[in-house]
Amino acid sequence: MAAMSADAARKRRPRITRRRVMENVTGYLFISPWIVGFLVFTAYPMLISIYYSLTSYNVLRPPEWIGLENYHELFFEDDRFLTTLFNTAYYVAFSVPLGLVLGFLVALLLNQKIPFMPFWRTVYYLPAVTPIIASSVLWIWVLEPNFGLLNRALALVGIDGPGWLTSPAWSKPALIIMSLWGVGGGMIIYLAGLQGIPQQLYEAAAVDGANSWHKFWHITIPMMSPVLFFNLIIGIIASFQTFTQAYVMTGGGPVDSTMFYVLYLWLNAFDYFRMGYASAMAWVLFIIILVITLLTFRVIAPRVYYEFGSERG
Amino acid sequence: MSHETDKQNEIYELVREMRREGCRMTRRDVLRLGAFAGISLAGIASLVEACAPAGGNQSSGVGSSGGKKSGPQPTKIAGGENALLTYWGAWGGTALQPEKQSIEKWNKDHPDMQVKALQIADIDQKFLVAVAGRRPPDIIKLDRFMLPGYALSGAIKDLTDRINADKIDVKQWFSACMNETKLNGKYYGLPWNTDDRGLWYNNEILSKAGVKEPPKTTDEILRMGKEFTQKKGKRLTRIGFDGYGGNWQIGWHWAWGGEWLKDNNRKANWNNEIGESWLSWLQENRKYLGGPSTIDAFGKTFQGESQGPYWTGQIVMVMDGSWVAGDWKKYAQKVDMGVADAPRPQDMVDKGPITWSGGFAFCIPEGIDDKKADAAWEFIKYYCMDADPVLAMATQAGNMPAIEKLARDDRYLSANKFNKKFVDLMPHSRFRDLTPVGNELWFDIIWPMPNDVFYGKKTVKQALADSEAKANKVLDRGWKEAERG
Repeated sequence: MAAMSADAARKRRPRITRRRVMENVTGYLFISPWIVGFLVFTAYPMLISIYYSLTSYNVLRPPEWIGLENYHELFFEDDRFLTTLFNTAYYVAFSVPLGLVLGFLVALLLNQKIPFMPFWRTVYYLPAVTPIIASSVLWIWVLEPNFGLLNRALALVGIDGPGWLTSPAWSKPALIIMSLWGVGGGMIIYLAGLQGIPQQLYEAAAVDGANSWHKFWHITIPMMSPVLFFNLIIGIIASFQTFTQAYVMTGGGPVDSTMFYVLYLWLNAFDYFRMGYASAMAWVLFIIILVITLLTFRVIAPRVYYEFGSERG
Repeated sequence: MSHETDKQNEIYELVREMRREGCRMTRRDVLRLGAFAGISLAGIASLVEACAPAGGNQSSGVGSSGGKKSGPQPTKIAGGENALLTYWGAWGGTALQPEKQSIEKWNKDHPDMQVKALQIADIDQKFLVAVAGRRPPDIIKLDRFMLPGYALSGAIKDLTDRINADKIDVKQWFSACMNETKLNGKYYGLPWNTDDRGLWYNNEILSKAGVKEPPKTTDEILRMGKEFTQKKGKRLTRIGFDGYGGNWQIGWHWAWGGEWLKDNNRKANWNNEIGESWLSWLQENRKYLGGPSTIDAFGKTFQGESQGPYWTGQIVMVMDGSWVAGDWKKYAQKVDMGVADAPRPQDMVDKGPITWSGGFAFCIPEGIDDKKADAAWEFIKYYCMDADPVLAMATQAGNMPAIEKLARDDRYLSANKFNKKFVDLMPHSRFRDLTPVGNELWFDIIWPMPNDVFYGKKTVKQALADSEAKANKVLDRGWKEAERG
C-alpha cells in the first residue's frame, strides 16, 4: 500500500529541474512582499501574543512570565469581563439578525424594476462607505435627546423619546439602531446573489401556478441561503469585535453600559499598558468567536442549499 | 503653515477642551468638527481620543478612522530638521504662538543646542513605543500625574543630581507642582504650568435674588442650588448648582478632609464616613436636578463661546478651573461672574480653602546620550524657569505659571481679573496622589464611581466599598510590577 502510493506519487510529481527551481524561486520572490508582510505583521504578532498573554508586559520593561495569572484574573477576578461579555453578546444578538433581515429586505426592494434604480442603490449603499468615525459623530446628533432627529421624529407621533446615549437602558439599543444604518454593505452582496438566481426557475414555477410567496419561499430563499449564511457568519464575527461606535460616541458609558469587549481590551492595552492582559483577552475572544462560528456552522450549514458540488460547496 | 495644519491645531485645542470638560460636546463643537470633517478626517480621529474611556481621560489612542491615516501626523512648530534636540508635546491653539516664539528665540541664542518642537497626538502611546524602540525624543512634556509610571519603568531620567548641581531652589515652585514630579525623594521633571479650581458663580443671578455672598458651606450650596434650579416639566432649564460638573469631581473628598490614598499611596482610603458624607451629599444634588439622564440631556443643549452655560446662567454655580477665566475674558466680559473658595462642610470651613491642581512637566527620556541630555537640561531650565517663555504662555494662553514668583508677576495678574484669586488659592492646592497606575485609578475607578450611585445601580456604601476593593487590587498589582524594577 505504502509502496504503491509512493510509486504513484513519484509518477505524479514532475521531475525537479533547474529551470523548475528557478521558476519557483521567481514565483516566491514575486509574492514575497505579501509573504514577508504577512509573516512579520500578522503571523509573528499573533503567535507572540500567545506568549505575551502568559506574561506581565507594559512595553517599557521586558515581559515577566506569570503563567496563567492573566487568564485567572480575567475569569475569576475581573467583574468588568462579564459586563463587557454581556454587552457584546446583547449587541450581537440583536444587531446581527436585525441587520440580516433588514439588509435582505432592502435588497429585495431594490431588485425590483423601478425608476432611478442605480440612484436608490447608491443611496442605500452610501452609509456603508462612510468612515465609521464620521458616521458615529453624526449619530451622536441624531440620537441627541432634546433636538436630535430621532426624538424629534418620535415627538411628531406623540412619543417622548428616551435619553438614548445618556441612558444606561437605551444606550445599547441606540447603537443597534445605528448599526442598521449600515445594512447597505450586506445589501450589495444580497443584490449580487439575487441577480444570480436563474430566471427560468421563476418562469417554471409560474407555469406550475406558484404565487409570489411560493416563489419567494421555495426559490429565492433556498437560492439565497449561501449568501445569507455568509453574511450571518461575517456579521457575527464583526459584531463581536465592535469597537469604534462605542469608542467615539460613549467611551463605554453611561456606567459601562456600552463597554464592549474590544473596547475594554483596548483600554487595557493602550490606556493601562497591560499588554499581557490585553493579549489574554484577545485570545479568549478568539476562542469565543471560533466556538460560536463552529456552532453556527453545525446548526445552519445543513440547511443551506448549494446548487453545485457537495453540501459544503 | 498650511491651512490643514491650522485646522488640525484647532481640532487639538477643541479636543483638549473636551477632555477637561469630560467630553461634553456642545452643538457648536459639532458644527466646528463637521466643518473640518471634509478637510481632515484624521482630525476627527483625534476627537475620538478625547472621549476615550469614560469622559475626561487624559490618555488617548489611535482612532481607526477608516480613512487613509490612522492618526494625525506630528506637526513641527519650530526648529530646523537638523536640530540637535527633538522636543515632543508642543501644543497648538492659543499655546502655539508662545511656544513657537520662545523656542525660536532659544534657537537663535543657542546655535549649538537647536531644538525642534513637534506636536504629537497620542503622545503617551507613541512615547512608550519610542522608548521601547530605543529612539526616544530628547525632551518630552508629560502630564505630571503620569510621571510615576514612566519613572518606575525607567523611561525618564532622575533629574535630582542636576537640580542639586545647579543649586536650583525647588521651593520656588508651588509645592503642589514640584511634589507632583517627586517620587521616592527624587525629581523626574521640572513643572511647566499649573491650574487650580474654584467656585464659579453667575453673580448677576445671585445678586438679582438678593444673595450678597456665594455660599461657604456645602449645606448652604446644596440648599441654594436647589432654589436656583428651574425646570419646565421634566426638563431642566437652569442648574442652580452642578456638584459633579465642571472639573472638580475628586475635590470633594479633600474638601471633606479626606485623603484618597494611605500607606505611602499603597492603599485606597475612601470607603469610610468621609466618603459616605460627600457622596450622599452629591446624591442629593443629583436627585433634585432630576437624575443623570436629565442632567446629561440638558448638558447637550449647551452652546459654546459667548453662549456658554455659565454666561447664559444655565448653570449658576459650579466648581471649575482657572482656565475658565480665559474663556470669560474672550467671550463674556460683560457677564458679572465671580470666583470663590470651594464650599466645605461646616466643621471644615475654618481649616481654610481647598483646591487641586494638575499640569505638565518637562522630562528627559532615558536612552539619549550625555551630550544631548546636557543640552536638553539647559533647554528645559530655560523653558520652565525663565520669565520670558513662562510669562509668554501665561499671558497669551492663560497657563498659570508653576513658579510662584512668576505667577505673582504683574504681567500675569493684570492679564485677567480672576488670575489673582486662583494664584492665591495655589498654596492650598492638592494633587492626585502619585501611583504607577494613575490613569486607571483616577479616570476609571475614582472619577466614574459616583455614577453608579447617580444611576441607582449601587448604594453609596456599595459604590465606595466596590471601588475601593477594586482600587486596592489595581494598586497592589501596579506597585508590585513597578517595584520588580
